[in-house]
Amino acid sequence: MSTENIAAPRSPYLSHRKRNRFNIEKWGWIYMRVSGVLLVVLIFGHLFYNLIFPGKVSILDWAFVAGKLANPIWIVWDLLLLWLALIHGANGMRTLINDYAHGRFRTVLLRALGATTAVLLVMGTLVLTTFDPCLGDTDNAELIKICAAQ
Amino acid sequence: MGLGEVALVAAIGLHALNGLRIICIDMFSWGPKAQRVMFWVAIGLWIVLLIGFVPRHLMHVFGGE
Repeated sequence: MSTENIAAPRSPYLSHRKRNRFNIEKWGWIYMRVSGVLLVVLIFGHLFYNLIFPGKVSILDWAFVAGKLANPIWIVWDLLLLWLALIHGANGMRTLINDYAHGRFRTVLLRALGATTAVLLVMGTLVLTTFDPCLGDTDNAELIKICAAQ
Repeated sequence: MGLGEVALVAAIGLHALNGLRIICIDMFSWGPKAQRVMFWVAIGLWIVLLIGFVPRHLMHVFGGE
């Protein structure tokens, strides 16, 4: 037997190395890096605006959020935040489940995770795209003026 | 809620900085060699972030303003 027939040490399991095939683990890995960099900007922008300036924890209420969602830029911002962060988090949870859960328990957890993620994405998108700040009561003078003008 | 925000900012801040460190380790040839230094850079930036955020935030939580 020649040495050519022996796989190199520590080479990956061959059935996982079919070339030219869509590799979901590779794209998941890339997604975590790309979304992570974008989320640094989106999340710290979100936290800074809500908690430092112009917002602060003591004035966060329905009117504050309604005022934000009157601006299309914040709707796009929050939609990006929702989709990127939720899929980023779900993919991280998927890694934990694959690491620690086995057999039937793993299947149940993965399905529950997928269902939860889908429901949250649909509900969040629905709120962000159909929200009307003028439907609720508010004592925010700026918002009252905007709604009266409609 | 205010104290929960402190925990949230602390957790997400460390997760973000450590994540950027892991990206540097993967992407750059100098990454693996510098990973230990970058760990302490991340911890340092995290402490700066918390010093900038926590006192002011807690004044808003407990000061009522």
